Amino acid sequence: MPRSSASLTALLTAAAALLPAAPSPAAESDESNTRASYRFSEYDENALNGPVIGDPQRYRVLSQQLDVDTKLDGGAWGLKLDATHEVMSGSSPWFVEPDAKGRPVQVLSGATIRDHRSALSVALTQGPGTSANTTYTASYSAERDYRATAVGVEHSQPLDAATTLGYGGSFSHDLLRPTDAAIYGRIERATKNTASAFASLAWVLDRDSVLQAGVQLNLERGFLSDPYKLFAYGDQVLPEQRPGRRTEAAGLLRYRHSFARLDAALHLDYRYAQDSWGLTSHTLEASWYQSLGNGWRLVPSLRWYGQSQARFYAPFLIAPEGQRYYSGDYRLGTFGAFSTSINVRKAIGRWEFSLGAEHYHSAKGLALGGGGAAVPALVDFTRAWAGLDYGFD
Amino acid sequence: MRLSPVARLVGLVAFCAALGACATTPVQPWERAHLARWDMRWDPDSVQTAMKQHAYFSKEGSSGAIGAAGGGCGCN
Amino acid sequence: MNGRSNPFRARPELIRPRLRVFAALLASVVAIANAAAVEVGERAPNFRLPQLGKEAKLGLADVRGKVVFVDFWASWCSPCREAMPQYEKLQASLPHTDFALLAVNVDETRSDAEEFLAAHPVGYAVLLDPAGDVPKSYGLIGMPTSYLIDRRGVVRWRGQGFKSADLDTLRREIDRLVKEPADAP
Repeated sequence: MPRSSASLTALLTAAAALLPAAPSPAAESDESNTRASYRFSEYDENALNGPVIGDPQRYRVLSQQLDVDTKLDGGAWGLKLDATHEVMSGSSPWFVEPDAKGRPVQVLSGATIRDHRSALSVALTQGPGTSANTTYTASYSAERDYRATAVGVEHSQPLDAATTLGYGGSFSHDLLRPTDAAIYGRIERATKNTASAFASLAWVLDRDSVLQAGVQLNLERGFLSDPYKLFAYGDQVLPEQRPGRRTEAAGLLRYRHSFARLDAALHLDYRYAQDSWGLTSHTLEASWYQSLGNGWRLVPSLRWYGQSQARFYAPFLIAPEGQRYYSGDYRLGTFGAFSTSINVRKAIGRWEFSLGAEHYHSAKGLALGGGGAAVPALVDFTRAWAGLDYGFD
Repeated sequence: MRLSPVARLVGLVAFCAALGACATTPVQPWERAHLARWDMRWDPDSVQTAMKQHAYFSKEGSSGAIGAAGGGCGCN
Repeated sequence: MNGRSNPFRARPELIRPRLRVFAALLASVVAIANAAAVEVGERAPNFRLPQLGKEAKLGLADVRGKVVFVDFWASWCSPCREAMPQYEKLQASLPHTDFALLAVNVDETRSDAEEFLAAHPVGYAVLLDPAGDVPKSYGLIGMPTSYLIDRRGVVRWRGQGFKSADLDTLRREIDRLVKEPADAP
C-alpha cells in the first residue's frame, strides 16, 4: 500500500505541473448523438496467504463490455444498451476448518471453476437532458448456474431552482441451479427476490458545488445462502445456512466540488448501510478529476470500505449449540478494504481512449473498530482495464 | 430497525446541508458554467462505474450503490 | 408507539393545519423562484446589448415590427451548443425583412463564446450579457430558454431546453406569426 500511495503522489505532482492555462472542453464523443463504448478488463485475485488446503490460486475474470448510448425521436428519449461477457476461472473459498490447535485453515474448492456470464441491460429515459425525467430499466444476467432478471424505474424532478428530488424502485428475481448438486448434496434449484426503493435530494450549494443525500431500502426473500459454501459444524461439514430474509437500509451522501481554475473537480461519496443480519458497513470514496489539456484526463481515486460481521458469522463452530444459522463466508465477517485506482483518458477527435488500474487490499485491521471472528479468506485483487469510446452524429 | 449513531449523524449532516442550501442565494441558471462541466456529473463514466461496482458487490457484504439495483450473480 | 407519546394521535386536529402551513411554505418557495418568469402573452422586456464582432449595440427596439426569436445560450451548456447550428439553418431559410434572430450569450468569459463560434460560425446576431441582466429580467428558469416574439413585441411561444423535435413546431409558429400584421389589434 505505501508503494501505491507514493506513486499516486508522484502522479498528482506531475499532473499539477502540467495544468493547462485554458479549460479543455468535454470530449467530442461525449457530445455526440450516439456514443459507443467498449471496455476490456482483467480482474485477478492474489493467491491466498496462510494455511490453505487446495489450490491457493483464486479467481480470475476477463470481462468485455459494450455500451451504446443514443437518442431517439428527435431527442425525446434516451436509450442505453449494455452487453457484458465475462469468463471466470480459478478456485474459491469453500469452508474453514480448525487445525489441531483450533486455528483456522482455509479449504478451497477442489476443482477449478470455469464459467462465463452474459448480461444484457436496457435503460430507456424519457426526456434526457431535461430536468424532469424518468428512466425505465430492465436487465438479464445468465451463468451456467445462475439467472437474474431485474426491472426498475427512476424519476427525477426539480422542486425549485436549487433542489432536485429523485426516487425509484426496482425488483429482481434470481434463479439458482447449482452445478453438481447431486454429488455434493447442494440444493438443486432455489430462487430469491429482491425489492428496492430509494429516494434522494440534491442541492446546488453554490456556483461550484452540489450535494446529494439519499436513502435506500432493500428487501431480500428466498434462498440467500451461497449454495457452494460449506461450514465446519462440530464434527460435520454442512452447507451454510443463512436466514431466508434480509432487510438492508442505506444512506448515501455525494458531494461534487468544481475547481474550474485548476480544470479539476473533487468527488466525495459516503455510504452507510445496516442490515437485519447485524452487518453494518461504511464506504468512503474520493476521486479527483483532472483535465490536463489536449484531451488528456487523469482520475485518481481512493476508496475505503469497512464492515462488521453478521450475527451468524463464524469461521467454524467447534462445539455447536444447535445454531440455526451459520456461515463462514468471508464476505460476512468483520474486515476492511482499501483500494487505490487511477484512470487515464485521452480524447482525439471523435475517439476517446482510456486505461486504468485498481489495487484492492482487504484486512481485518482495516475494519472500523476491529473485533469479530477470524476471516482467513480475505481477498486482495488487481483490476486493469482498457477502453475505447466513439461518438457518432 | 434501530438507528445507529452513525446513521443519525448522516441524517443530521443532510439536514444541515438542506438548511444551508436554503440560506444561500440561489445559483441562477445562467451562473452554472462550473456545475455543467463533465467532471461535475454524479457519475461521469457510468460504464466504468458498473464494472467497478460489480467487483465490490461480489466481494463485500453490503450491496451496491444507491439507485436501481440489477440482479445478483453467482460470484464466488 | 403509544397514544401519549405521539402528539398527532393525541390531537389529530393538529395534522391538517401543520400540513397546510408546510404546503404554503413550499408554494411560496416555488413562487419566489419563478416570480419574474415572462409568460406567453406578456410583453417581452426590452434590452440593448453589445454585439460580438460589431461596434453597434443591438436590442429589441432595433428589430421592432419583425418576428423576433431570442435565444439565451452559453458555451458550457450542451443543449445550447446543439441548438446553434439548427437555428443557423432556420435563420437562413427565412426572409430578413420579416424575421430576426438574437442570440444572447451569458458566458462570463467572452473568449469562451468566441472559441465556440470560431468552430461553429453563425450568421445571426450574438449579443453579450456576461452579467446576466437580461435573463434575470426574463426570469429564466433553465438553460437554454428561447422566446418567440411577435411583430407587436408580445411573447407568443417559449421553449425550455432543446430537442430537435421542437424545431418543426417553432417553424410553424414563425410562419404563422410572420403573416400577422404589425399594427393589427
